[in-house]
Amino acid sequence: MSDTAPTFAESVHTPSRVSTGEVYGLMAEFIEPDHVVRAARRAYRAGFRKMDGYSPLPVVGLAEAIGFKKNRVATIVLLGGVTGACSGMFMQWFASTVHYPLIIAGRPYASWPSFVPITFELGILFAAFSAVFGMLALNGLPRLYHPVFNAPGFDLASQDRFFLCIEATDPKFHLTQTREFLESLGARTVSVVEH
Amino acid sequence: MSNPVSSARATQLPHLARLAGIAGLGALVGCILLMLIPSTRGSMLPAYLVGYTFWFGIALGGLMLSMVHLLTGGAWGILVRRPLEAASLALIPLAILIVPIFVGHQVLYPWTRAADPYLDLIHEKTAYLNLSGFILRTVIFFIIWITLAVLLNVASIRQDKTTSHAPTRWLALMSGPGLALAFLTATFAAVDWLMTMEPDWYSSIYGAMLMVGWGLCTWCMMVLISTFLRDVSPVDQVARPRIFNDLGNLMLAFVILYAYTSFIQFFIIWAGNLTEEIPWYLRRTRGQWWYVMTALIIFHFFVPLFLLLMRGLKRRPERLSLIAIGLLTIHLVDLTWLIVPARVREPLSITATEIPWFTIILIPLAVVAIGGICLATFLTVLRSKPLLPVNDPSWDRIPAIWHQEEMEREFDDDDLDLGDAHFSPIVTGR
Repeated sequence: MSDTAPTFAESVHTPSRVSTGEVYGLMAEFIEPDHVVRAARRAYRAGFRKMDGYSPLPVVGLAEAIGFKKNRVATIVLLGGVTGACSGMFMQWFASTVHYPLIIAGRPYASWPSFVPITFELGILFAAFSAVFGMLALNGLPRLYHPVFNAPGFDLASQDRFFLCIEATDPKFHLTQTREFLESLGARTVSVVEH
Repeated sequence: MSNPVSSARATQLPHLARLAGIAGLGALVGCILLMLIPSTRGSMLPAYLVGYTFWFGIALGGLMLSMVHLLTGGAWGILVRRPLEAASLALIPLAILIVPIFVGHQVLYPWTRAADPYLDLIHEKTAYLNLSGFILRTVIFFIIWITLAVLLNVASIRQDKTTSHAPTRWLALMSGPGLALAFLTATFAAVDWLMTMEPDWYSSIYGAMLMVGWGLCTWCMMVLISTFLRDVSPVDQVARPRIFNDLGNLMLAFVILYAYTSFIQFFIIWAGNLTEEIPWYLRRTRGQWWYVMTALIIFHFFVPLFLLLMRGLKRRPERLSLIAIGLLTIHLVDLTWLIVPARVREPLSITATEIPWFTIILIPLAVVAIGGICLATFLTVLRSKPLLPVNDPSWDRIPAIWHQEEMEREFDDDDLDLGDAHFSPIVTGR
């Protein structure tokens, strides 16, 4: 176990603006992925809702543990795909029946089989764009500043440490009681995250 | 060989195999009698070909998809590899069950008749379209498929008994060329057995389309057998929601791929609008067949597409089984739609707009006859081997599934008393 991360005591005594009341939340650090999942579940049980987990790798069950039950990206992708398919079909129908009707091979103007490839392509295109941009929007990206990076040792979240942050906007948040709670869950360190 | 199957479900397997075998043989006698009576021969043989194509597809799908798993790996293979291998051995009875089609060739294939209006159109094709070539090719195909199926099953048993990697390596080594060989021969078989019913018509995606449909039926059958055996030890170790989710996703992929292959065939022929190609579709889209075609578009594509997008359905074996039964049924309708309208007296005619109901009534009889015998073989083979391939390299992926389920269960049992006094709602007033 490396000791590069600041300990609890260090994090308390680092110069901070805590006294000004600008607290984003409390960041608890864990060594094992299972521990952060367990801690997140207990925090959820205790009534905390405004929290987030940070991890260098996908941790099975962590998203569910912090109460992230339903991924809305799927719905956005479905809506995007349906919109794309409908607009593809409409565009071709409009062009070949209203805007510039042409008789092709003696077929009716609205020959739907010939519209299918473009309808399909636009459906896929819109679904793909909805997936990327919907995911970015739901993640709150792009974002140039995020207070969690003020947490001491937080850069380890991209190496070998697992973090759980309970945010100050949670109605149950209390600076000392929530800190004691996080410590009771087996956090290696708990530090105050400033804005 | 030890086979730690204890559950009542597993002891039912030999009983079910016997039942299927008796039903199959009884129905087969009925089919053969109806083929011998001249007035019903013309209805029985197309019905028999529909039933035969349906079950043949599942057996060949068993062979090809188990080779796919040996090449790609994947946790789903642990659950369905043994059923897939057992299904592939049903090719042995199917090699005998094709004999009625050889004998009744004049009913099904116009190019075998002495005088037929088709003959003027196809006399350049007789180098390929002749009865001795047809039978010879079919015999060669079955020798290739049965050899592959037997090699696969034997090596799979060897893999179970040894910790050495030799059988595993051999299985992967034979699967690449085996898959290519099976794909080629199955394309020719689809052309020979089905496409030549209308010998003036051709479509290059036909074999691939048939094979994708067969693969879809194979997945459906694997879902059904896995659901049936999911509580039996040791299958219960891997018959988990995550694996059923995988099988549901594979079904979804095959539903989409089948829609693609059948639409693209239609699209090319519709766009070309050629005299020798378009009657094939006119025979299948006019009159009463129009309703069948519309039902296929809705129930073979749109309904399963949206159902299989729902994760909640894919993770519950009983519900996924209902979708599987629905897909098997609609695929049987699809094969009927492909095969039955082909029986026309005149080339280039579009007269077959009425559904021949007597043929349709005989299809369930043929399905029971061929299916009973195939299922008896399948269940007997399945019972004779351990239900899971114990040395399959894909076992690596199973502990992660167990771990996740353990974490989920722990959450449900987590009755940590957090003390309401300590954590009563605190309003910080900030």
